[in-house]
Amino acid sequence: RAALAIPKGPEREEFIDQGSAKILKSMEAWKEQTKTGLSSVTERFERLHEIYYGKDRDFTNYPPVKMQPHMPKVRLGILPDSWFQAFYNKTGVLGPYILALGVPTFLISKEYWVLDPEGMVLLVSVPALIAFVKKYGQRIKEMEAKKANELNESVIVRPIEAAKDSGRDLVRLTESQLQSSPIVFEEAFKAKREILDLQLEEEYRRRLAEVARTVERRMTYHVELAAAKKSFQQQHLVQWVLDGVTKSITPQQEKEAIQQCIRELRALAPKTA
Amino acid sequence: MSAAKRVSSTAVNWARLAQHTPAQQADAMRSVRSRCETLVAKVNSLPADKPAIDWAHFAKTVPAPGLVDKFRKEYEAFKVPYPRDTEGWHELIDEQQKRQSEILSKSQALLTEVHDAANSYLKTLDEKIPPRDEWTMEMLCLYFPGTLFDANNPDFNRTPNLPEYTEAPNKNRVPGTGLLSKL
Repeated sequence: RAALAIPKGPEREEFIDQGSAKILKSMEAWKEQTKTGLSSVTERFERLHEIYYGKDRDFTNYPPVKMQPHMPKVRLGILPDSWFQAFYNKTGVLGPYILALGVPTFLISKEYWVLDPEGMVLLVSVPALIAFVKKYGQRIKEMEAKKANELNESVIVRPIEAAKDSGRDLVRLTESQLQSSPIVFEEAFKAKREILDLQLEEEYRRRLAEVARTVERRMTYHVELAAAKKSFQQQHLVQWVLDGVTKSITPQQEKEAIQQCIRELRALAPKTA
Repeated sequence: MSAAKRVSSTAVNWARLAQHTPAQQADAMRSVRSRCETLVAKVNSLPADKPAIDWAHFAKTVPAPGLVDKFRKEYEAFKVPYPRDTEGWHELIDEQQKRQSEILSKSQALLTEVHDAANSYLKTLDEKIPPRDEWTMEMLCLYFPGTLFDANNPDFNRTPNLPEYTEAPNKNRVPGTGLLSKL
């Protein structure tokens, strides 16, 4: 059986090392690279957060401008509600409506707003616009809101989520490595020692079997020898006896035996005929 | 060297080892396991102690007087020597383990450093970012330098010259399914 030779000299050093010095060096380079990358991002974000939301930020005079999900409340589709609120204390609820009714009445009565044939287009265009807005307004609003949301997500939300995912992946990877490496190390060396010990054990058992086999062979040899001797003796004796008997048969005896056989045959013959 | 005789099964917890080995070392682990298991099978196929010999049968059949007795006494007295590790493989494995445990501790230290850096990175991303409805163009410029939001980038605020921006929308359009058809 070909046995593995134990390494000596530089090969022994290589066997002990198993290429781990190189791996450790590459690990250190990876660590440096990762740490610089992560820390640059972390520092930048912390510095900017301090600028925009830190202790020097004046939130009362300069509140952060938020992206509104809906437009401010409007009445009749075009008039902002804030205009009506400004009137509320002085004139109550109907104030702005009376103003809206009274001002055109005044203008028309004083002929500041001349109602000429060209002005009749208002009778058609205003209802048409109102109809268009009522029919398609909601749909257009939803489409634009979706576009704005998509833009905001693709520019801000998704890149940040991707960065967080990569961070979580890194955490998971390092955690699993930290947990698994000692276990694998311990079990692997147990396995190595076990392979050595099993080979020794196999050799020992092989020796036991060999010893028993040799003793048994020796004993069987003696048994076979005695049996061979005995059978030879037996065979020789039998042969000697047979030779003696055949030699002692005289021609007279032979003739008498043949005559006896013929007589017997004759006695049998008439019965079968 | 080794007085302990190992009998049949392995002392290594293979299930645990298989669970914890990384993917690129799975083949090596499997080959070690198969080597170990063939050895165990081999060891189990051979006798554990001195096998018994049927002396009564030989005593009856062998004619020479006292031969069987002599052999029996010598067989029972004979001590099979346990094979010794003459080349020093156990010492070599010990040295290897010592060296690899040093390397392991160093690598664990490196991994903890990266782990902590990653955790602080995640914390920063969770806490130190403006809410999604408070971003301004200036913030985008400063938070993400080197991208198309960076005013120092010559491609600032332009559509990137990539196929998915220049070719696809016009190439893959289907006439009759534009914006107007959705109204």
